[in-house]
Amino acid sequence: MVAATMPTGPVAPERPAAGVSFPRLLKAEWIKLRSLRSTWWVVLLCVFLGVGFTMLTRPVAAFDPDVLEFPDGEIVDVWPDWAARIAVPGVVLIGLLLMVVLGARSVTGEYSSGSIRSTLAAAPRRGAVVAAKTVVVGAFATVASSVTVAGTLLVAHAMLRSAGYTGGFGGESFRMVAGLVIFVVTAALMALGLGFALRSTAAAVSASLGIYLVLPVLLSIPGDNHLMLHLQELSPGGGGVLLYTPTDEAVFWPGFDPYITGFWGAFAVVAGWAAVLIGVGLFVFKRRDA
Amino acid sequence: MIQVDGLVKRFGKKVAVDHLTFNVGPGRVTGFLGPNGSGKSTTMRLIMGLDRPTAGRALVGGRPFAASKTPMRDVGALLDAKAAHPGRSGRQHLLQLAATNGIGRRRVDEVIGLTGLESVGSKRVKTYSLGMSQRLGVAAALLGDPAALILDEPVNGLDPEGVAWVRGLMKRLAAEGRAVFVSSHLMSEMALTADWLVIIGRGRMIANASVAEIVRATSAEATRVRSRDAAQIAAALAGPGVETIFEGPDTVLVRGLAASAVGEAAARNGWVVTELTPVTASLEEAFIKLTDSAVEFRSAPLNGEGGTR
Repeated sequence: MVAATMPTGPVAPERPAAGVSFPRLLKAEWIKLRSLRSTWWVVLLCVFLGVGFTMLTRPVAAFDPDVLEFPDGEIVDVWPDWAARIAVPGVVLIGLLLMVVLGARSVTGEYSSGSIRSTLAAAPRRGAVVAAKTVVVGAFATVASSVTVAGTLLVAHAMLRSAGYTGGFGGESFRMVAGLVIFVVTAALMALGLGFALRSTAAAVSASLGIYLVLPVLLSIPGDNHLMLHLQELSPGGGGVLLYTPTDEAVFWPGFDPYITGFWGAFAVVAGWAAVLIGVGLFVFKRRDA
Repeated sequence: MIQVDGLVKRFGKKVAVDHLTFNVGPGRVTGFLGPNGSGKSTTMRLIMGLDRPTAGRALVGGRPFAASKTPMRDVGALLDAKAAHPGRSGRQHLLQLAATNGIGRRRVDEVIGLTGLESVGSKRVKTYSLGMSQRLGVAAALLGDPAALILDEPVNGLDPEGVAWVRGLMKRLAAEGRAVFVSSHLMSEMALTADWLVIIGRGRMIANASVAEIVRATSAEATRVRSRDAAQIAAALAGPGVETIFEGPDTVLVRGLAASAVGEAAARNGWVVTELTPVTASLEEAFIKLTDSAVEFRSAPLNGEGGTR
């Protein structure tokens, strides 16, 4: 390299010891994520809408038939994990949607702006770019969804307290909370993989939401059909819900013997889907002209 | 520095790059010329590993660019002025790119200074004019202090001062020993900056030579003759390799003969010649002549000049 011996002109006197490494790609992806205002808007919306949605469930909670109030005014602790149960819908609806948008946009934003070309001019190994994005978006989505879950949980707890209910953080609470975070983060990563495959925000977001919200409904239409039920439990919006569903509610169909049972089965479903879709995105990204 | 070897790129049935072979050497500005749509941008994208070649290969410093461990140090590229996210500030765009290759903040501030972006560095890219975006692209290309630069139409959208700046910069970078590969659809632009020219049309190589050679090879000698005997002169001189074109009733352009030859013929035949002017073709004419048969999009009369994407 001739330029290595050329110290003059508009370049730095000492040539920087430049080279690509995975930690450097992580740092670059983190700068990309945090330097966009839209990232922080998504997080704010996620937390506030998630909490707001939970507050709307208050009337429902107050009249829940499962709260048994005895004549002497004592409220029986029917559901020790009640706060977690109340937190579920806000996180699953709002958190899922916004984290899917975050995951998809981290990739598709590079295509709509054309910055994918400068990204690849600086770091031409495409597999490493996908890996770095996955790690950074996954970590960020974990933090953002944890904050959302914590917020909804506190609100749910406060609502229960003001209704005179004293329990709410026992039982399966911890598993449900961890499950909610995993459910939402894997959704964000699935959207990221679809972003690489589809290269458009609208396409990647609608495909993700289709997989989560529409697919389980379609598969449930035939009702008591075991093939459809098996397919349904293998979909992230089907079997994946076991991550945050209390054990007493986790019933598929009478007489149906599911493949997916419990937390780890559900984890395998959502993690598997995320891995496969990131793999598809990687395959397409590596083969296609950027 | 940059070797392009039998490169072919097909998009469906259309052949965008058709067996191109050339080298871009260090220490000089290599102009990459061709009409719009002739495959210049695609060739550059193939060199940068953004597109996959259908056949052939492009090497940078002896290996495919995609295999580089120090990409920004090997090549600085400006392929598209709109290659920065509009929601990020120019400085953040550069910081992010610098981070991938472990380049520090100081260098980022340096290239911001070099490209005159100090006042807008912290503004979001969506507020930039085309000229500012172009400068940001140049800044990004310079970040890694690269041994080779690939610039796709870098003067597009720049004001005259910016154009002069880019020309000076390219010459300076080449003088420092770097390989500078710059595309343009304007021969006049390249005449001012390039030392070497690679000219293509419809993806095919038309010329690969020094600027001087190309001018020499393409500007057939011509002589403008003004005379009362113009018609007689034209008839007498016309022959194999000599073409006569009437520019007026008493003015004829004799192509393929030098002024001295026409003068001698006039003396021998006793023609009264009132003007005898050697005419040399400009580089622009040479370019049009070279690419005449290879223009993809010929503009209809009254149509403005097209730009590239």
